[in-house]
Amino acid sequence: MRRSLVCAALLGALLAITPEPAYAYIDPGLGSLLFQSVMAGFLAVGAAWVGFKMKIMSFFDRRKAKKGSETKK
Amino acid sequence: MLHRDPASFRDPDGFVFSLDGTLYRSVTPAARVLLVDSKAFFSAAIERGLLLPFELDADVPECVATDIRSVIKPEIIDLITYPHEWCFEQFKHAALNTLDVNILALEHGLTLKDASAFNTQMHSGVTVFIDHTSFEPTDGKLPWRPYSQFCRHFLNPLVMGAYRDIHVGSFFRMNLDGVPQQTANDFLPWRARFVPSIAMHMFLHNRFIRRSSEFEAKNARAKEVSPRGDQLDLLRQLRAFVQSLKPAKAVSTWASYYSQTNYDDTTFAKKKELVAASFEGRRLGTIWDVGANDGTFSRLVAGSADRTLALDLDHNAVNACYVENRERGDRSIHALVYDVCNPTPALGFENAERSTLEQRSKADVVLALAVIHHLSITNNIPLDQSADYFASRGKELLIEFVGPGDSQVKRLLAQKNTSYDWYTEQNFQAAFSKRFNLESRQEIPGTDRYFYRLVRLK
Repeated sequence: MRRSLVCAALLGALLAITPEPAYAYIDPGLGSLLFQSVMAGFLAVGAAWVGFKMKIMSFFDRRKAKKGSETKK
Repeated sequence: MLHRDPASFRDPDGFVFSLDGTLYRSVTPAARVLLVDSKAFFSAAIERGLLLPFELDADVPECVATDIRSVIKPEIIDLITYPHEWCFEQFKHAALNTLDVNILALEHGLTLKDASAFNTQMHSGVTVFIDHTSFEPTDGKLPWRPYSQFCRHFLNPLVMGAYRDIHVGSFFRMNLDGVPQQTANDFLPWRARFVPSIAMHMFLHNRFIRRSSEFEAKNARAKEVSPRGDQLDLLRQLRAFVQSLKPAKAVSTWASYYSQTNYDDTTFAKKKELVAASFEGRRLGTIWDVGANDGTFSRLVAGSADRTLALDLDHNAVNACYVENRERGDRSIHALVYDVCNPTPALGFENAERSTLEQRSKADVVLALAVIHHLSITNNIPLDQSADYFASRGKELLIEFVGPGDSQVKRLLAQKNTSYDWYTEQNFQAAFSKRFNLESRQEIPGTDRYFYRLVRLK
């Protein structure tokens, strides 16, 4: 939840500071390609977060498994 | 005689043609080298059920034009369908298939050149990618060139369908290149911008699309975007987001139809019995179930045919039918959005790129249960014209005539202020006997409904 709020706030700020142009002719392909340079940063943060989350989860899973095996003994 | 597929002209690396009923795809020498060098990828993709199986270096018939050097022979797809006929879940599976194929391709140093919804089809009950020349070598870095097209063809319609009760595919009737970013964004409620993936792929992305001409004016070489980030991260993120999408909750008129009809269990069982008996011991090619709703009767008769088209105008009912077919592993039923009063038109360049459903499929038997009163009363279609419609779709018609005494007909008539005294069984018989032989008529006990078996006049 907190992650979503932070992301939404960041994206909202970015949306607010990007001015809207008024062009009649648009080549959408170029904007999409350039956008991916910006998006790469978000993706890297996202991928790092997922990796971090997995590490934390596997740490707790290991502890849980250890506790479980100790109880069995 | 060689017949070039009129829809196959966009890819310079090959085109599809048929010869004496066999389908081929011609490939340029460069495209053939890629197919040979990347054999491991193509084998893995076929093995995982992501790609349509094909035969490399099929024999080129000698009569074929000399400029065709090599051909591949893809497996024949049972029925070609289009995004404008798909329900939400079929769209979603097509999007996931496109991403999965690309993710696998990246493991082998390849990526997609395009991400068109028309490159995926249902084959033996699963969604497969059909364009074998859509791949090119890559270093795996961003930009992912099909990104914009993926958004127009998949992401935008799916997100729209997740927030609004609309048939996501209908936009392809207006524009074969999918839903433009601005149009998609305008459809969404304000709250949608707070979903990070939507804010990024749709709203922020749109800012850049709208500034494209500015970028071009500032820097003529701007297209050479410096590589940054991995395509795999983008594809995985898109996959997780697409996977999470669900169709908007809707109160559909038709999706819960069978729980609201005036049939009780006994009469409904009797109707099922009558329909099943009409197909007993028969082996047919194609059945069209017009007004199939959630596919209850399509499933009942599907065992008697190679393929059954479960057609309905309500996208929610078609979605329910599609989901149940997948769960049951029913491979021969095609659940498609189809409106008798506004059927799939011929679209694209020369109106030949995408054909009508009638051009792609001919029915041996048309099943039309509880449909005629909607054509006649809701849509004011004269009985003669309804008879013409059904006669041009199939050789045999199994139709349920819903009499004027039926409670559903009374409900329809209550909303009309004109007389429908012409809507009688006598007039129905007179109109349909001009085009059909009346083979049998059976009353569905306890109702003002009659089950007819009609065979088209020669």
